[in-house]
Amino acid sequence: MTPPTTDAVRPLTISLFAENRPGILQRVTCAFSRRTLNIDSLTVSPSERPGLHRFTIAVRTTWHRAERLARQLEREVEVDVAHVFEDDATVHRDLALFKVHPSSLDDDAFARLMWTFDVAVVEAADDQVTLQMTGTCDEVDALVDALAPWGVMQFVRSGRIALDRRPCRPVAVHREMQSPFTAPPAPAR
Amino acid sequence: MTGAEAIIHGLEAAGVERMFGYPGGAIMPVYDALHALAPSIEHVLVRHEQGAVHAAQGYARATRRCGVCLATSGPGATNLVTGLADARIDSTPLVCIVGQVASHLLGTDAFQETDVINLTAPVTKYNLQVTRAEDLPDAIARAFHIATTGRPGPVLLDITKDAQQGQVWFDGLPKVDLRTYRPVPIATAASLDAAAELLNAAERPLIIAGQGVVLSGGRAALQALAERTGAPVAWTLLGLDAFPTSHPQAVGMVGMHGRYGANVLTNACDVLLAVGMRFDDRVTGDPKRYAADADIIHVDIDPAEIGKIIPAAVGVLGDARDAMERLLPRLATRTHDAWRERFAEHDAIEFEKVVRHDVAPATGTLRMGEVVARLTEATDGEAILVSDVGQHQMITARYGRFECAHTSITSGGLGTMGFGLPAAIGAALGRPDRTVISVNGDGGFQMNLQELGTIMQTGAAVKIVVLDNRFLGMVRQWQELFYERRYSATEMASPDLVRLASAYRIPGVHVADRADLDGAIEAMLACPGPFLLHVSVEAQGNVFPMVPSGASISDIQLEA
Repeated sequence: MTPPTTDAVRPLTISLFAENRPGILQRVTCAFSRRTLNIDSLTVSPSERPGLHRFTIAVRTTWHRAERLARQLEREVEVDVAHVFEDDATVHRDLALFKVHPSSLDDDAFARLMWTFDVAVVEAADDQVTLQMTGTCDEVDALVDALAPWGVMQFVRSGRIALDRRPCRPVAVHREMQSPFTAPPAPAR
Repeated sequence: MTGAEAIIHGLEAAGVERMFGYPGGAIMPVYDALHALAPSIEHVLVRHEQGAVHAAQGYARATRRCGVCLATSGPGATNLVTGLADARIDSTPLVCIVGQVASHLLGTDAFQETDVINLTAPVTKYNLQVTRAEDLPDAIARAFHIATTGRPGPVLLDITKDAQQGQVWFDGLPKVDLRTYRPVPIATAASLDAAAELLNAAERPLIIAGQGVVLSGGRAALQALAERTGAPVAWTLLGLDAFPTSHPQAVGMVGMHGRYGANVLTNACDVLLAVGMRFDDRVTGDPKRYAADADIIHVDIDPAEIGKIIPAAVGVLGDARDAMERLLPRLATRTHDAWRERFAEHDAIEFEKVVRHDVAPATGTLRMGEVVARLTEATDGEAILVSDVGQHQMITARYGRFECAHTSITSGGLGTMGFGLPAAIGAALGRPDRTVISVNGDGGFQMNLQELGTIMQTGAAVKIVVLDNRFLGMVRQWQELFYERRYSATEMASPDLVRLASAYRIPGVHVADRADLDGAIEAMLACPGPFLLHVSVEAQGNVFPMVPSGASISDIQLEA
C-alpha cells in the first residue's frame, strides 16, 4: 500500500489472514496490547481462502506504526499476511442493533430518522422494538447522535468489517464460508 | 504405542541426543517411556527447571543443534518462562515439552494446572497444546521444524496426560506443511545490486555483524566480504564470535560498553552494512542520532526487523550467509586504510584511558579485566566463554578474544542473570572437545547455583569463574553515576564459594592476589573436570567506555 504523506494518528484497518486454530487470536491481540495500542474493533470470520480466517482490526495509530505491527504479525507462524489500509482504500461497514420503546416509533421525528438512516425493524414486541442499521463507521456515529432525544434501551455495534479495493480474481465459494453454527464441521486439518 | 512412547521415538527421529529436564506428575508417562525404551537420548537431570532451559540454550548455541527440555505442568512449566523469553529474544532454537493435566480437567484449576499456552504465547515462536495422542507425531515434527528454521526460536508443546497415555500409530515424523510459514526469504538480486552499489561507492564503510552471521554459518562469507571491501568490521554482543577478534579489520564491539572507536565512528561512516543484527537500543543509543550520515544496508532474515528501529536505505531480506555470498561477486576490491587508521587512533586513546588500567594494572586490587584477559590468553581465544549478565559480561565481551565460531554464549537481549552457569553446563555437555569457561559475577552465580548439583552428577567439565566484587556491580555503577551514589540494595555478601563447590565435590581455589592469578588459571585449565575459581576483585570498579542511556553513541564517555 502506498504510505500516506503525513504520519499523523489516523483510523486504519489491518486486514490479516490466519489459520483457524485456537490460540492465534491471543497471539494477534498480544502484538497490540504489548504496545498499549487499543483495538477499536476486531472481527474474525471465514474468508474466501479455505481454512484461513480474516481478522479485520480497526485501530487509530500512525501508518508507520501500523506497518511495523503488520510485519510483526506476519512473523507469527500461523499468520499468512497482514495488510494496512487507510479508510478510503476499503469498503467498510458497521452493523448496529438497538432497542427502543415502541412509543418512540409514534414520533414523526423518529420516523424521519429511521428513513434518513435506513433503519429497519427487526423485531417488535409490546415493550421493546429492535432496530437495525448498517453503514460506515461515521454513519453509525451520526445515528447515535440522532438518537439522543429518545435514548435507547440496548445498543450494540458489530465493529468494522472491510474489504480492500485492490484488484483481485474470482475464487470458488466453499463450505467454510458458512457459519460454524450452521455448517457441518470441516474435516480436521 | 502410547503417546509418551511416540514422544520419545519422535525426539529420536528428530535427531535429539541430549535433553535437560525435571520430572513431575503430569509428565510421568514420558519419563516412564524414557526409562522403558532406553533410547539413545541422554537425559540430564537439573536442579530447577530454569536450569534446564538455560542449559538447553547453552547446548543449542554451542552445538548449533536444537535444545530440548522436558518439564511437568504448573510450576514446572512456569519455571521455564524466563528461558523461553531469553531464547525468543536471542533467537535460540528450543523445543520445550511440558506435561499438562488430563484434558477433562483443563480449566478446572486442577492440581498443577496452569494455562501454559496463554502464559507463554508472547515468549515463544510457536506453542501448541496437544490433547490427543494421534496429534503428537505432527506436533513434534512441527515443533522442531519451526524452532530450527528461519529466525530460530523457542517452541513449547503442552501435552495433556491423557494424550501421553492414549494410543497412536507412529512410523516416523510426518512431513511438515505449513502454508502460512515462509521461514527463509531469498534475497532479491535487486536488493543485492543496490547494496553493492552503495558499498562500491563508499568512502567510509563500516560493517556491523550480529548473531545472524553465526546462526547462518556465515563467518567465512563475512570474512571474505570484509576483505574484499576493506571495510572495518564491528560486532554486537551476540556477534562476538561472528568475526575473528584478532583480524586486522576487526574494530570491536559496538554499543553501550563497546569500543570507543567503533561507537564514535559509526556516526562518521557513510555506508553501514548491518548483517544479522537488530539495532537493539543498547547498540544504537539515541536512534535519531544513530549513523545519521550513513546509508544503511540492513541484511536480516526477519522482515519485521528491517526498518523497525533504524530506516534502511537498502533492506536485504534473506539468510545472512546466502546474501553475503551472493553480494561478494558484486563488490569491487577496495582498501580504506585512512578510514581504518581513524579506528586505530581511537583505539590508542581508549588504551591509554581505559584498557591499560583494566587489563594490566600494576598495583591495587585485582580487576575483572585482567582476569578475563588472562583467561583468554591461556586458552588462545578458542575456549567457549559463557558469561552471565552484568559488569563481568561487558568485561568478557571487551577483553575476551573469540577466534573461532561458537566461542561466546551470553544472554544478550533479555539480560538474564543466572543464565551463565546452566548455559555453560549445556555447552560443556554438548562440546566435550572444547574448554568451556563460565564467567560469572557474584550476583548472577547465586541465582542458579543449585546447578552445581547437576555439574556434580554429570561431571560436566565447566570451568566456573566467579568475579566477586561484593556488589551487584552494574547496578552499583549506575547508582554511582546516575543516582548520586545511593547504593540501594546492591551490596551483597557471598558464602565461601570454594567450600560450597567442595560440598558438591568440585575442586576450587580462591584468589585475591595478582601474584596467584596465573597459577590458579593454570590449575583450573589443567583440571580434567569441573573447577571453581573464586576471584575477589575491586569492589567498586566501573566499566568504561560507556554510552549513557539515551545519549548518542558518539557521546560515549571514557571516564566518569
